[in-house]
Amino acid sequence: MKPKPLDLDRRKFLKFGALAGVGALAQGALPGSSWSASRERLTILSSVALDNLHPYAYSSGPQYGIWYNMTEPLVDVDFAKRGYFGVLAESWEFQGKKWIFKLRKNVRFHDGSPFTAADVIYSFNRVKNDKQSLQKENFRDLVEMQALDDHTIAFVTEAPNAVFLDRLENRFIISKNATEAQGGEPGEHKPVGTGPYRFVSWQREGNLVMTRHDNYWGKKAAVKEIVIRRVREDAARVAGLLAGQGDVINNVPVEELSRFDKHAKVKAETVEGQRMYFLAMNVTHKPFDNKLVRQAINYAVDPATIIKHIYEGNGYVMNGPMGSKVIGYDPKIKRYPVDVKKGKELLDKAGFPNGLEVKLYFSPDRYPKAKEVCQVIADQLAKIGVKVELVSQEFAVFWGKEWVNGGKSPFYYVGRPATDADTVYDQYYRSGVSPRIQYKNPEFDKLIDEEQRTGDAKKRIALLHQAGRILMEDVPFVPLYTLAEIYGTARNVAWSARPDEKILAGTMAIR
Amino acid sequence: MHKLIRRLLGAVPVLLAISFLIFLLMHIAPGDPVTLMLGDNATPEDVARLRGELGLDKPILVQYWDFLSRAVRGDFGRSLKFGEPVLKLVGERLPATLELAFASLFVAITIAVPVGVYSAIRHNSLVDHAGMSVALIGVSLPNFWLGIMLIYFFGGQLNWLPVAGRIEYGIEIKSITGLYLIDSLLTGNFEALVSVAKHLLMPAFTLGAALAAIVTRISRSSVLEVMRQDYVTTARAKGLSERAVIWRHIVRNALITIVTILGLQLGALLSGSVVTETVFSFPGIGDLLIQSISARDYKLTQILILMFAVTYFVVNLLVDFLYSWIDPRIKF
Repeated sequence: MKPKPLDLDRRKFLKFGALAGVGALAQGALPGSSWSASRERLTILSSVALDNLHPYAYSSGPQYGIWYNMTEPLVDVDFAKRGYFGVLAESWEFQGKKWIFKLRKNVRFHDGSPFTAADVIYSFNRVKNDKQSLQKENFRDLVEMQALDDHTIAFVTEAPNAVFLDRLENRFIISKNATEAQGGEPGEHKPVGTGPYRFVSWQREGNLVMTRHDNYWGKKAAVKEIVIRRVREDAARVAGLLAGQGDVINNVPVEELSRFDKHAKVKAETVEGQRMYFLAMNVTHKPFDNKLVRQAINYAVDPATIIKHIYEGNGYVMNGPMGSKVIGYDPKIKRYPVDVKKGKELLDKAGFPNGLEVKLYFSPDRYPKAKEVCQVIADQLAKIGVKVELVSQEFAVFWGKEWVNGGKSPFYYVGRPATDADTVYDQYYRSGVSPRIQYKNPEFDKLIDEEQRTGDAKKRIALLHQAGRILMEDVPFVPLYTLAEIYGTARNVAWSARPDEKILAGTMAIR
Repeated sequence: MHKLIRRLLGAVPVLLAISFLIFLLMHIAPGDPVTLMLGDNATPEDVARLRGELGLDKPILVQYWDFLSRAVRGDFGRSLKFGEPVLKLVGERLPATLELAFASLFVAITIAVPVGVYSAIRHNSLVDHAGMSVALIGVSLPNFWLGIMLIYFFGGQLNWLPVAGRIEYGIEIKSITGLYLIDSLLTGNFEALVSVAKHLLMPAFTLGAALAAIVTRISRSSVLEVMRQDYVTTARAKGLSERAVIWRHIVRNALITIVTILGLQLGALLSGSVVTETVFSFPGIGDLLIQSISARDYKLTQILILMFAVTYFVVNLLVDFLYSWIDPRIKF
């Protein structure tokens, strides 16, 4: 049958348009239909969304979190125990240059196919070799993968690598068969994983929709459908939650928390975050090449004041180079006490009896309230005679090769998330790895070398503790704090937030 | 017709110059896309490897030549941030911005022209003073602030309007023009129309407010100016009704100035869309531009700024056409 032509002349179009417009406005004047969380659907308003559907073309915590709902890693972090637990792996063994993993049996992908070692090899090859992968550096020393049987896999590394588990965090497994069968551009494949949610649809900058995977190997998710919408503006996310247009929001500004306390339908969910904030001192620049100056600065800075007055108490003072949730954290290390007199004495001893002038670099678009924090720090340093000039930089500039990553920022305020102390020690403080601080200490390097090779977990932690103590003596940094990750949720959502910015809908329950 | 072709050909060197300037400025400006893409764990070797893979280690002029030689074949490259061809990304987003711009223009014209004309005809009346005061407030409000206030009241407090996005989840819309309002009207999809209108209302008002204020003031002064002309006195003297004098002689002549201002302000509307779209997470090219600049996504930024330049050019062309339509004495 021939399709009927659209019977719409100009007059009808305008008439219908005007009527519809009035109708739309009239409907807009009625209270909006809020969709508070139910077992049928939960809406997450997130500041971050997927940029594309490529399974490995991203490297940020919140995006890992989105993928984790649909695809799973071999291992994950137990933040309370500061260790790892198996997700798709049941057990593992470290044998020198080899890591042997026993995979979980009876796990099925969303398309019903079984999960095997071949899928792991396929996925990790994509991580390592796919042109668009932004996760390659995690497997830079992985030289071979062998499927010993369907559910046993061996990873061979160039040298013994005790921190391989850390590299496996966030390395998600996709189905080899289902992905290859889709053909076309690798970035346009629908994700097929083993996670508690199945992919339904996605629009760039629009909604990501997922539905419950009813044959999930673990505990079945409580909510049937999850919608993740990107809402970049903080005020809009908060307004959306208060109006019931969303059920969970992330990155809630601290000043909004009081509104949640008074609200009958929403609540705040906070957890100590993984990102550790510190003042980095590049020791190749004067006066930071002088240990006494670095120690003096440590005596002057008081992070507790910053947490109290700027973050309204939503932070946790770091006592050493690592936050308390990090593997390798040493509770015995204590930070330098606030002691202005001692700070002045050290400066005097360092050859600066009349004080000195430094520049402090920071990026206000990256770290919350960075400007206010640095203003307070400048004030605290002024008390020991260090006059600080603040230099604000857009993050793309701050982090680029012209500044921090070119070793050209002498003194800067930075935040770095970590699961294992090794990643920060190796990258920031080991000789020759990154130009960010350029600290060199053969004794420290030796400890990190040894720690990265030892298969004995307890010994490895002891070595990390030892390395931490060396750093606290040399202090090429000032440890500051970790901040609370603040989420807002509808009151009927029962959920414990994770420290690593991941929102896992499978762990949410509806009361 | 040949004048039109001449105008279009004249635009080519201008656009080439603009593209070179953007390319140069983006690459001279500090900031590195690769360190941003790779995140915290990357070593200098990783950064160098990716720079090489993306061709960012070549001299700027070589990179620009690569860009040009591909561009003439219609290949503008892939976005660093999104990993997709930049033209595809722009194509996905452009209709949203156009819809927002037209809606804002509609808001501005429907409010501003009647208020401006009425204020002029009844100048120094209460309506005139009130209209001008509101216009002053409108032009003084920064649009990000106005947007956030609207979100706070109409989204958070009253829950009348959605706080972000372009259409509600679950509502399907058949894309014909890419302009959702038009598409929903053409397909008779009332549910979609309501949702789109609700999503569009706050951003359009935010973006249109300043323009409305400017146009109100311009309309008023333009009408006042025309009212003093001899031909208006003549029209009255020959016994025309006041209505005919206002519409045929005053408003029509005042429109030339108003259209010029609207044309010029459309540029401001586009730059305003960058802020408004960010505040409302409205998926248009303004929002995309902010993201691409923050990520130092050179190719995407390049094409987006070129888009803005082309839009300015097209609008100017349209304004010239409109002149000769409004006043046949003006030749295009």
